[in-house]
Amino acid sequence: MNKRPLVACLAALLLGAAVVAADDLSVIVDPKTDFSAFKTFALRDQKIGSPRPELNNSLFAKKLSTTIRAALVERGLKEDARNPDMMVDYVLTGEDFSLSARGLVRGAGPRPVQYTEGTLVIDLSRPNDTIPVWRGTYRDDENTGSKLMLKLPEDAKKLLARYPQRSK
Amino acid sequence: MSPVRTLALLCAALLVSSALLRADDHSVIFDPDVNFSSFKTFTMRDARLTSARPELNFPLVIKTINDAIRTALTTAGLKEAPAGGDLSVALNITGVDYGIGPFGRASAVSRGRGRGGASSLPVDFTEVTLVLDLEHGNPAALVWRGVYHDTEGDAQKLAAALPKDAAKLLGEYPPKKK
Repeated sequence: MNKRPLVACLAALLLGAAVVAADDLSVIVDPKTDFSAFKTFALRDQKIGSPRPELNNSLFAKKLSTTIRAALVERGLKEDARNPDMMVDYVLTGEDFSLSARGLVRGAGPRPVQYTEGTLVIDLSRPNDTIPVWRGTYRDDENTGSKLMLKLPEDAKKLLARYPQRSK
Repeated sequence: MSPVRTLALLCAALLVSSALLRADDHSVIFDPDVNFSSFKTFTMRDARLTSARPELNFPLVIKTINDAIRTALTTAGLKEAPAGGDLSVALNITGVDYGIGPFGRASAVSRGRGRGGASSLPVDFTEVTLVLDLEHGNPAALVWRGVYHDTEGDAQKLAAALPKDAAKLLGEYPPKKK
C-alpha cells in the first residue's frame, strides 16, 4: 500500500499549522529592582505601527489599553495618573509575510501562504527613568488580521501575568 | 477506493477548503462605552477607492457599495441625512494585485519597474481591503469600524462581491454588548 500521498498531506497540514502557530513570548526583568515598591501605575505612550486597519485605529488602542489596565490591577497595582510609581508604555508593530508551501497535489507546484505577525512590546519604567525595569514581548503569527485583532489583547494579558503579584 | 487514497483525498479537500476560507476575512471593532441606540441619522461621506484594476476603479462600483451601505443602515433603523447626521460614514477601499512567482511566493504587483522585480509578474489575484468607519461628534471620533479583506482571482467577481461584503459588515451594526 502506497502511503506517500497520505504522509505528504499530513506533512503539509502540519506545516501549515506550524506557520500560524509560532507564537513567542519573552519577559526581561531588572534583577536589582524591588517590584514590591511599585504600588501605582499610569499609561504613558501607546504606539500602534501596524499597517493593518483592524489594528491601526483608536478603538483597538483603547481595547488594548483597557486590557493592560485590568491585567495590572489584577496583579495588585492601582491606576494613578497623577502620581504613579511606574509608567506603562506599549508599542505594537505588524508585518505581513508571504511564503510558499508545497503544492496540494503532486505536480501542482508550490502554493502561496500568507500570514500576518504582530509584535507587542510592553515596557514598565520608573517615571523619571528612560530604561525600563520590566519588558514583555509577544510575537503572534496568525493567518488573518481578524484573528490577530482578537488574540493581541489576550497576549497582553499573558505577558502581564508574568509581572510579580503584589499582595493586597 | 483504498482507505489510504480516501484519507489522502480528505486531507487534500481539507487543505483546499482551509485555503479558500483564508481568502476572505472580516472583523468589527466598536467603542463599548458608546450608546449606539442614541444614533438616529447618518450622513455618507465621499468614498475613496485606490486600485490599479479598471474593473474596480469605476464610479459605478462605489455607487453600488454606497447603495448597499444605505440599505443596511436603513434596515438597522437609521435615516439618511444629507449633512450633519449623528453618524458620519467613511468608506475606504484599497486593492492590491498579487502575482505568484516561480517559487510559489505571492508578491504585490506594482506598475512600472519596481524593486524586487514584482512588476514583471502577471496578476494572479487581487486583495481588496474595505474599511468602513462610523464616526460621531465634532471633532469626529471613531465609534465603529468594520474591515473586510476579499481575495479573488477575477476583478469582476471582486467588484460584484464588494457591496455584499459591506452589507455583511453592517449586519453587525448595532453592536451587541456582552
